[in-house]
Amino acid sequence: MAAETGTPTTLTLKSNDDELFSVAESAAILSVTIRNMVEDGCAGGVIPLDNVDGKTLASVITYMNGISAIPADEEKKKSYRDKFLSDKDFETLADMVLAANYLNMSCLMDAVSAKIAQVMEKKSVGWVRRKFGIENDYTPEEEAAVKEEHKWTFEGVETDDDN
Amino acid sequence: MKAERIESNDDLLTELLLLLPPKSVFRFMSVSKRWNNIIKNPYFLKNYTIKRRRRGVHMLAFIQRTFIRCKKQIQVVPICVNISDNIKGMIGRFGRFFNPSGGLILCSSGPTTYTVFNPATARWAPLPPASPRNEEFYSSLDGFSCVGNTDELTPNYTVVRVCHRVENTIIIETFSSTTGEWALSTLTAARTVERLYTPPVVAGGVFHWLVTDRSVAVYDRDGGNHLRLIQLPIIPDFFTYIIIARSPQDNMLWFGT
Repeated sequence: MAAETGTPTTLTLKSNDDELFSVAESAAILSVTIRNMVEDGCAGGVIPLDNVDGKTLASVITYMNGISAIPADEEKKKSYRDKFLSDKDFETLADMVLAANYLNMSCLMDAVSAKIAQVMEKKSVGWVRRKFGIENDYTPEEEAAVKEEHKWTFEGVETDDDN
Repeated sequence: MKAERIESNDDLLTELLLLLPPKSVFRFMSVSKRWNNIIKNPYFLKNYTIKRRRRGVHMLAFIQRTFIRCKKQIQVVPICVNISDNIKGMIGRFGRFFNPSGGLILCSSGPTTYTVFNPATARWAPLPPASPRNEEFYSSLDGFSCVGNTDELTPNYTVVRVCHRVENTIIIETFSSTTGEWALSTLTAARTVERLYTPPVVAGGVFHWLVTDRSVAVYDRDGGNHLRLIQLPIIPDFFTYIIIARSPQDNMLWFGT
């Protein structure tokens, strides 16, 4: 491995839409899923990542490279993460949280989840249903009752248009 | 849509919900039955409370933990996330915390002093002094029911205090926001009323206390001065507390051990 041989090892990752990406092993093993494959010796050829598309994988690799270039300084890592996520829209964040979950990257997972929560915080129930593709399975009476129960939580909610 | 995959993954969805402030969590109970079930699951609520405590942010407790003869003060925890120190101080002054209802909290700082507090607007209204009563009847037996609360302190609410219990009667004092006054009344049951020992659970404006003989004492203000006693079913192997709770979905009273 990289540390033993002294030469940086490069891994090739393949997205589910067949895009290939080269990434330094030292950065890629931020993903526990990839690290396990490397440790099990399954990383010789191309590593297929069946649950991640090319666009998301490119983004994740940018993150892997960026964060692994920062020395052990939590403050700096945090500000890198904040900056990295600052321009991502909800759909991209949703892709990333799924990718981070699949790749078992806890630091990215936590940061993206927190960002999604921050986006959702002031959103309406209608927004959440639309964005998550949820069918409202309440009857009108049931829904009215649940809303009545938590009436105070509907104050100060953003109006129901997107974003 | 990718977000659907988050939504259909219980673990991911739970993780997300755990990160939201209380106001959003409660609001999102209306999203769907699945979200409602995830949120009202006791394990979720427990994790949520632990998580928020770790962050130094408190949430409103769901269940009042003071029982009779327990004089320990309960910390009143505000529903608002970014609550100012000013409000915290105010809550401290109001004293102990009782059954929240309809977004309002009834607090008591002395044997006869009550304040109704709205944590969302940080407004409060002191109630006129209640009558002195026997020490046996701690304020933890007091009930509070609020209906039709909006964001103002002008909702329709009722406070019920248990003042005396003898044989098949209990004497209660009731405050109604409509009259603005306390009034004493005697409730009569069909048989001897044993000691009440939990704060009343209010469902549909009806007050329910647990009684030491494994029954529930039911007082419906619209049903006259009658105290109904319902014997609880025996559950095999029960060895812990009996609890009663109200289901927010259908306003039914639930009981378990």
